[in-house]
Amino acid sequence: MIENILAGFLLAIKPINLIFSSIGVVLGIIVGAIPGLGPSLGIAILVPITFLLSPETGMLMLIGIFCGSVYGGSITAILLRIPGHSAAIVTVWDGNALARKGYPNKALAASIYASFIGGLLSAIALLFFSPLLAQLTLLFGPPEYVALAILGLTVIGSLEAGSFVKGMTAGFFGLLIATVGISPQTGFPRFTFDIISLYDGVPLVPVLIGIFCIPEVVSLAKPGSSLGKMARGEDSIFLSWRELAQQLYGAVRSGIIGVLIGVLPGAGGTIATFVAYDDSKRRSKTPEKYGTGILDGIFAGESSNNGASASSLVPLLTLGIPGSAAAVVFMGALTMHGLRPGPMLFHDHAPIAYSVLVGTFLMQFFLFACGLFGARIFAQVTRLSSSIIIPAVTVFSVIGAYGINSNVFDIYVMVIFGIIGTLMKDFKYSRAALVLGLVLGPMLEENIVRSLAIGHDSPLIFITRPISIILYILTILMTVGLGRKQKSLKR
Amino acid sequence: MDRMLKMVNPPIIILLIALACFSLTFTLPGGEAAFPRVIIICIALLSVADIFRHIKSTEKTDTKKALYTRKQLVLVLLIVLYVVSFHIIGFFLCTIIFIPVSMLYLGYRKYVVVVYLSIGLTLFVYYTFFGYLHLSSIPGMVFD
Repeated sequence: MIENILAGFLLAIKPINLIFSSIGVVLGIIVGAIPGLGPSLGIAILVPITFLLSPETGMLMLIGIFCGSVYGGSITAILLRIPGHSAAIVTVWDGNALARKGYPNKALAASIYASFIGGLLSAIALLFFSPLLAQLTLLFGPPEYVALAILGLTVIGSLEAGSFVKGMTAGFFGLLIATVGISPQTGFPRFTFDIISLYDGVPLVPVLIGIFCIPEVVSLAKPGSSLGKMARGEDSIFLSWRELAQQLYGAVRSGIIGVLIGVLPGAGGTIATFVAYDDSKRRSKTPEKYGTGILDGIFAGESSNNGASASSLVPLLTLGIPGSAAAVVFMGALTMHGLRPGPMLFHDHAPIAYSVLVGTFLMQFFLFACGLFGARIFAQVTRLSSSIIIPAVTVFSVIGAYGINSNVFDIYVMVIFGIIGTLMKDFKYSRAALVLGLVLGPMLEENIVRSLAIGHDSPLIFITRPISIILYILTILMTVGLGRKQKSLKR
Repeated sequence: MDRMLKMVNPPIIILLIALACFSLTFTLPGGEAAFPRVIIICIALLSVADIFRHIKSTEKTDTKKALYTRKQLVLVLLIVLYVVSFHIIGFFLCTIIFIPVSMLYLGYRKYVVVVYLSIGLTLFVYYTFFGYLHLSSIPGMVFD
């Protein structure tokens, strides 16, 4: 294995590979910062560029785009309250609050430090523990996914400051919206009203863009609420050693949560960030400060988000199972370059496969440098007039919503959910809870159906498997903990 | 309209939506309706709890203060018009009209910037996404 890692390292540090993977990181940051484009669409639209390159250079560039776009989503989340992709939602809460307090550079710096820690953990996991993690994914059957989804739902209750009832209502509405489309049980169309575009369900990305971008655009139009209130980015782009030391343990913990959840096919970074944020908040001595612009919140969100990034490629590279939308696109790109993902990849194309793994590790350092020194440039957004930001964000939102399926219907979905999101924001219903419900819905229903099929319609299958039991115990502990904390806060 | 929005009680609206969705589940075959029904019942229970919380709450909402300004409502209307017009005049023309109209409406008065940004951003988006990255263009009846 060490020989293969060394061969991969030598391949990854070839000047041409370093240059193109760095270009990939920069392109990824730009694509990730555009709402709606995110990692999967970012890779998809930039794949043609890699056809001009050799397989290993192309793969390293794609990994660069992937890592860059995962981080890029946090930039608009911090500066504009608009997450570039769903896994960056959590970063909005503390990142934007800190930026609005007058520290946009500090918020961006915290995001890049956290991304670096999470990304490194993810790359180490990919490099050294891939076979072990692949075994973990095989232990997760449908009943375990049901338990994981229920654990994810529990997180909704403590997502944002505000009413638990309103949070849960929004979460269940997300679950209800997720039932639109072809049923996983019999293939019967539900709540589609004969609209063919709804047969595949309500598309997540246009909902995400609408529900987060449009309300912010509408808010910016309110007199006296421009970004001009944000400080002019004169604060430092470096965190002090003391601040770093305080955050290190939490960041590593969140990163590990990201790796472990990210590795599960279908779970993805979004769930990981919510679980890690919730975990960090519960462990904190000052949970009431979460959402007001504290570093702990940014570190939890971004470390877990990036922790889940490279680890989501583990099932693809080791088993040939794409575990996320980005992994599906990455699988397509690998195939187009003549590489078949799966166990044989490490046998037939060991140097290329290991160069990808080592490259992911090295990429984190370049991403760190790019993020840190780019922070001052990104923060210039705060100098723009809201009259410029509003039309620009609207146009990019339209492109982001349309780009996924090249379907005009998705733009209408974006606008409808934009209006819903604006009302939700002003009536204080958690928009993040709705998105989490929408993400968890298909996973929950599909796996309930599968579990019942495996268990011959006996519900006992949900509570007789060890991992499920552990996850249910965790769910109960989290719910009890939440109840106690809410009581003590009321007092 | 804005005052009306302010007077609306969200949990009651949610309860009504839940009831409407519940009635829709009767059009589905038995097994298909089970999962949505469980979710709808949970939503209904939560909104009833929220209605009681509202009744118990001593806070009074200020219905005189507008929830949205006229500027915000017109902006939403502009966005809706922009998106609906794709179908007629296509993305390119819509965007080149939407950007200056919205900028000027929002009070931006540096006309040179308005012209440059409208043309520049439209061309950038058009050539980057539809030209270089080969996204299929948003179709319009009159122009693409």
